[in-house]
Amino acid sequence: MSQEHEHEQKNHIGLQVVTGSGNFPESGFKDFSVHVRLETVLHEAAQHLKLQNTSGWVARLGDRQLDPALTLEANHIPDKSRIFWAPTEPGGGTDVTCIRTSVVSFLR
Amino acid sequence: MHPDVSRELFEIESKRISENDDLLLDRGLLVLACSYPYFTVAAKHRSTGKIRVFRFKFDDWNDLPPALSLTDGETGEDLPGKLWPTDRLGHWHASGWISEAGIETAIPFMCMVGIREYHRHKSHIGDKWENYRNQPGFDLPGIVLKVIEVFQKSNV
Repeated sequence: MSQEHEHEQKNHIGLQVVTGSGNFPESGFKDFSVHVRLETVLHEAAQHLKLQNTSGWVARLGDRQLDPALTLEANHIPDKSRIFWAPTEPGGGTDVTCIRTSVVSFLR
Repeated sequence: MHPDVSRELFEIESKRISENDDLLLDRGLLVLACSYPYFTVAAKHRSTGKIRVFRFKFDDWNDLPPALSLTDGETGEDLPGKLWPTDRLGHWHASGWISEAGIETAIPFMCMVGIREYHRHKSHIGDKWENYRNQPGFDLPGIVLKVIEVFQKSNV
């Protein structure tokens, strides 16, 4: 293996974006440069999966929320990762009594 | 919604979770039942390792949002409120609803947009399901996965 090829491989990681509308790629992983921004990967996934509106969606690696504006490297995404991408969960009831009741239950 | 149309929509949308092995693996989910109108899924809490079983009832989907109950994984009985998740954001109501607006739901329930118990409660009567049902993220996979993510952030 040439040094150039080896260097090129180190700069690429395999990713899969999983959503409730399907995966990109459908199975396995697709190689991306670690210098690519996460939003580029997500945009490609949205196009592939024909997602109409992804504003407010959040990308996570396990529990960790990722920053689409940062590169894959800056997001510390390891090789062969699955990125879960989904709409943000809304909060609970906004009624004050509702939250107070919940806190009381929590403290019991 | 005609029952046949509701069933067909349920079957199309539920497969987007039940047949997506990568999604199930990544989110730590196991689909226990997927037969109209019920979609029952077990989830493992990533921090505590505890497992909870979520039973969604999608009757009259999607004219109505799903009703949600938590069940005992072994017996299938309703899970006692003391074993429900808790958080500080008002999502989980282990002992039903005690509100100045009146006790509307006497059983444990989850309070979140997209869940039937939320939309039919007096306090949220103005926040109608009709305003959400055709929005992205409020299809069957969207609602189920939101509930699971809220569970993952809970103190179960």
